[in-house]
Amino acid sequence: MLLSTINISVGDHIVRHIGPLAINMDTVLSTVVAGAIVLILGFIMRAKVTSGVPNGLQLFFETAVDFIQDLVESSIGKRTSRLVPLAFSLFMFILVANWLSLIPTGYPRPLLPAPAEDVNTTYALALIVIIIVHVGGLRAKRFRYFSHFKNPLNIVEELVKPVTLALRLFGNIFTGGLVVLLIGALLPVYLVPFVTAGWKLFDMFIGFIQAFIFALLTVVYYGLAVEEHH
Amino acid sequence: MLLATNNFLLPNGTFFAEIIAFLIVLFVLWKWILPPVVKMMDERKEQIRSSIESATTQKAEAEVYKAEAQASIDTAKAEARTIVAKANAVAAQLKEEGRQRGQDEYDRLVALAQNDIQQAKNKAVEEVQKEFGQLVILAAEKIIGEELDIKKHERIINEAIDATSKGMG
Repeated sequence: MLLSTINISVGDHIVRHIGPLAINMDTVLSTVVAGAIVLILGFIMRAKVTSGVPNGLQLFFETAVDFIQDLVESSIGKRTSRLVPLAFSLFMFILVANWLSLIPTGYPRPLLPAPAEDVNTTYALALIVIIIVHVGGLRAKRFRYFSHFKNPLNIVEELVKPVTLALRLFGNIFTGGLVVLLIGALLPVYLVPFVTAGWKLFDMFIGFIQAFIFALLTVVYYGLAVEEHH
Repeated sequence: MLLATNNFLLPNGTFFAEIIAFLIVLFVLWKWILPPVVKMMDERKEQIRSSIESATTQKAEAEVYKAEAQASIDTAKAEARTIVAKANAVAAQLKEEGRQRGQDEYDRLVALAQNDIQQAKNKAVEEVQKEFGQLVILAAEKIIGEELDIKKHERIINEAIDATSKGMG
């Protein structure tokens, strides 16, 4: 009864048609803002970068880079790889993008929803990852890489990987936004700010974990693709 | 409409925009942001490594210096002990010499004094004997009534003196 009075629409976006393409303008705006924040933080950090005592921002970057280098090293055996920038960019971008939804920018339809609330974002990221993974496997093993696909189950596995990668991120972040909507719709108005604040703190944690998992799985998949023995 | 759909699990044109957006982020981070971070991390690692290395070297050097210093201290202590022992020996010798000299001086002075006393005594005895002899002669002249020739009666007089001096003696 209550639900019928408010209109919660799922996967609804502000769509503009550019040529033959339908573009979700809210997702694009959020993505641009998230990307800009990552890059601006990066350039601020770069301006004061030092080999001495790092400031908080540099420390954050260094911690993330060091962590991803460790991850890459344990997966493919060397710290310096093109995988490091990829995994780092994925982690930073997804983290900032997810945390963007912490900012209240409108209800029920925020001006800046988390970009990962739109499957377009997560499919795009998963596609980039899976292309790089297979290219990496091909470069490492040449034609021997195709022997991996003699088992049809492996083909299924490789097809499922990008889909799960994309939908895991989408599902977690989309749910986060949905819960905010439900809190606003179902709870008495005086409780809404407190419950929303509590939920967003938890959502912040989910946002971090999902960014981390996405980067981690990217490294793991890449490691599996370039690994010599099956 | 390409990929335009009501099913929210299917992508639309946004997909391409997202790919481009992420590739831009990836490219910028890769080319401009990450290299300085990695460079600084490596530099810091190198600084820490060289600091630890030099600290290790300096520690080893310090151990050597410490051993040398300890050796010097040991030598100095041994020397000090030798010097003190020598000084003690010299002091004991000087003390003994001083005591000996004092004793000698004492003995000499005592001997001298004894000698003086003996001489004075002898002289006194001699004078007394001489006077006593004259007294004896005077007394004898008075008794005999004539002068005694000292040379003539010397033997008798000396016998008398010897007799009396034995009595005094």
